[in-house]
Amino acid sequence: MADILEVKNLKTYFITKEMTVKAVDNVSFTIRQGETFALVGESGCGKSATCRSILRLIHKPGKIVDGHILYKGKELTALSQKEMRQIRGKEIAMIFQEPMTALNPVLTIGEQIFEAFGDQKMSKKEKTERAIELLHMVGIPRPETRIKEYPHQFSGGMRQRAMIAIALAAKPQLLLADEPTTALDVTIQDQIINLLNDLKAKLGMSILLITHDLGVVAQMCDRVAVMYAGHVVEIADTLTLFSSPRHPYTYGLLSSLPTGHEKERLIPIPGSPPDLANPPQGCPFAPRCRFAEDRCREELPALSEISPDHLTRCHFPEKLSEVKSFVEGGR
Amino acid sequence: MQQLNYAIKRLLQMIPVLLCVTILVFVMMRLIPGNPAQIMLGEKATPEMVAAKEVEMGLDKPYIVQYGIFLRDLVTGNLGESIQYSIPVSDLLGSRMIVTVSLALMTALFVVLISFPLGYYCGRHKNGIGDNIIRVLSLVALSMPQFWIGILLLLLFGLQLGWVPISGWGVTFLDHVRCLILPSITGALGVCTLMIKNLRGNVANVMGMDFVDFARSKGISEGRVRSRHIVKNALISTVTLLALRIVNLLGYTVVIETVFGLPGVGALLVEAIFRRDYAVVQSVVVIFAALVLIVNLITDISYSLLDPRVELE
Amino acid sequence: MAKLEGMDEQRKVVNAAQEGGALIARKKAPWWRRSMTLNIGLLIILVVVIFALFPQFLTSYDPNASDTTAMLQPPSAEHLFGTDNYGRDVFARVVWGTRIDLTIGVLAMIVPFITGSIIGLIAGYYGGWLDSVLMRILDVVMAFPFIILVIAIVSIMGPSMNNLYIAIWLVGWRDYARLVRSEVMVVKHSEYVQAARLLGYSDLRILIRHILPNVFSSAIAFASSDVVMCMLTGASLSFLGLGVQPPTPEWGALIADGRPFISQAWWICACPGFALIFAGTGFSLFGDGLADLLRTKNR
Repeated sequence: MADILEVKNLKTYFITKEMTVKAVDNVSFTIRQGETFALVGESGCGKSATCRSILRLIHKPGKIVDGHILYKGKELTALSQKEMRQIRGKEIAMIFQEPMTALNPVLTIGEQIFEAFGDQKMSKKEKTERAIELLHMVGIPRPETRIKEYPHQFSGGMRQRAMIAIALAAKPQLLLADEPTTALDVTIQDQIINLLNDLKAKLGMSILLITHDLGVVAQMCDRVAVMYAGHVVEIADTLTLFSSPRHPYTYGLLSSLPTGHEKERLIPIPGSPPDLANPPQGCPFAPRCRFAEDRCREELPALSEISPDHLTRCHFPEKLSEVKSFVEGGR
Repeated sequence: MQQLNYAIKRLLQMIPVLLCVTILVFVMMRLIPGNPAQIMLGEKATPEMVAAKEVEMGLDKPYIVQYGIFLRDLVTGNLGESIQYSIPVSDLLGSRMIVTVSLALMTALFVVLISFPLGYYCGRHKNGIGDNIIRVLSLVALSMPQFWIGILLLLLFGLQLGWVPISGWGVTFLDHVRCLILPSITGALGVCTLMIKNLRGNVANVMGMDFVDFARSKGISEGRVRSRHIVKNALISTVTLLALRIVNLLGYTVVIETVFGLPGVGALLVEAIFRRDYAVVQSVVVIFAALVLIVNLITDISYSLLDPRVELE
Repeated sequence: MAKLEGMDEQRKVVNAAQEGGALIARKKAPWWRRSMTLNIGLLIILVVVIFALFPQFLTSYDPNASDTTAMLQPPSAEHLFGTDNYGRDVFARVVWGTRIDLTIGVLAMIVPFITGSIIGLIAGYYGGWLDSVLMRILDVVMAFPFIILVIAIVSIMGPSMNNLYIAIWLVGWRDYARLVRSEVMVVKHSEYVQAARLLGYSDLRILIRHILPNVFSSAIAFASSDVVMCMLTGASLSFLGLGVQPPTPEWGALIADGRPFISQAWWICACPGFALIFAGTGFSLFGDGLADLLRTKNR
């Protein structure tokens, strides 16, 4: 499979007079054509900033300081604003976490879909038909009347569906989904996940899924990158990551996951993530890592391949292979 | 249609408030020391006239009856006669209302023209150099007394440069506009400060909202993002504030009209107070209250037009 | 499923970077280091207070002494702001006027601040018929432009400085009542107030100990900019002849005095206006800085 997106050594910093927050520090990963790729991590680990960097939607004082973002071989960081607009929506689209705040409250759903058609020459009637078709596709009942309604007249789940319809209006090849299910009820979450899976199969697009929810990862994704404190700490296919994690942070995440066994014990990761304005020297996870040695506190490990397609940023990945794998066979 | 129903409903709701306003004015007029009939007719009235007026006002009857007569007169437009001009107050008010309402409208126009671009700029470049300069200047403008800035503007543009008439209202439409320019700017200056502050906050706030980024992620032009997504949302509360400020401004027409010699209701009020022309005073006070209620009504309706989330009930 | 508390990440990072740093820096600093606007405002207010307290040390002229040999003289070393049509020194009149205008600003603010806050507290906390009645009264008072009602009351009682105070007191409470009431409505339903109620604390204790501290900051911030409004209202009424009466050197009245001579002697009008702007800007800056500071503190 060919790569549709390649992120190489991306650095996105938030620079103020008082401090520099390295939200995204040397992040690299690739997304292959037709796959669903997940970026997983806690809040504040830089996964959203990475996602927004791809579409160059970083707010001041944030800035892409260094690195490459190659979409089908095209360098996005070098494009002008005008060229970037040709990419946005048409090639890469994005859906946001909060369907409450991601839709403009003063425009109707129809108007917001029309906007996404871009400069294509379409009559009002064609646009309306296409918009209805889109709403139908994402499973919104009575689309003919609903396109005239405003976001506040939609329920949370319906709003998320509407947002997906808008994002897909210009038939993008890659969909960036930033926590698309977080703000929703559990039952609605499943519906949205199924919808995204269906649409992906139907339209043949690739998805970059940003989430903190490993359950969603298991349901949707082919491969996963785990982020911690601005760094990618581990990349592997979903099965491998769940069954044999090779970074202590990934291991910790999985340990805090309920398995459904009786008598299970959830093991929280001690401590809290480092201050990104003032990161510790060496491996950022070292202060919380029970395997950490002196080397970890001095030297930042490189992201290195330990087996085909399995990369980890750890000096001692083999330590974890001795620990019993606890989610045998994934889900 | 929905808006019309709402307007009618609100107009009906205004009636009790307006009734209370008339009670307040009635009580205030009775609080003036002396014989109310004498007060209404002025000092030059003969005892016979006063006696006749006393009967008309029902001064021997209970207060509730007197209030009824007062209300009846107001509703039928029988506002009494002006001592100063010796004509019925209702005749006096018509043309003066036009002046005051035009002044308020033109001031609102200047407020919009000045504060919307500046507020938007400040919001986009929050804490930048331009933003800080505009903020300090607008704070200074807030403390400028309108009568003072009015006098200085008149000195410069009226007396020294001779660009605008120094007093009056003129005859033709163009005259009127020329006569209103300085008064409107004078009135607008103080109001702009609060508008800029509000819009600045709103724009900065809306700019950080997800829907703006979502709009950008669709690949639409930056101009469209600004006009349809940022400005449209930022203006909602600013328009409400504008209406509130216009209410305040209506009051300051008293000062502005006096300074610029405009024959409006505000200047009339001041004149009437000094001539103890109480028939005029009470009518003008009631009229100002009515204007305020109308502005509030227009605000509510325009608010609902701007923000679809507002349910009209 | 593991929930790692995913919130809006980008916003958090931006906030942390943009404001967090400043916030931390500010929180560590003593209060006078935290807001430039507040300091400049305070400095100006201090100057104004000195002018109000010790006018006799700042000018050797008697503000009311006329001098027929020196009428309508332009600003000079001898007469800093020139002289008026009676040959009175304008600088002396402006300096002596400080006391009057400052008193108007502060005194006209403080009474409505107290009464309005109490009314807002009671209406917001107790609700019910009491709230309804108070709000209907408020509706009626709000139906007038502020200055119109003040003028109407003054015109009934007769123009004088005392009546000016009474008129502003009778009208000014409305803004505080509205502000405090709306804040109380929010705080009333907060968990800590509910908890205080469950513990059986008396209404008075809940009002004073739990609600007042939380609703007061916005009223205080409003009050300091309200001083400007009160000064301007007082000056406007005096300008119209409905407030302070001549020859008392009130700034608005001074501007009115100079108006007939504007084409020959602009300084009679201009100088008191600058004084008003100076003092007003001081209070505005102070109010803005205070509002910022209280917002940071509440966060």
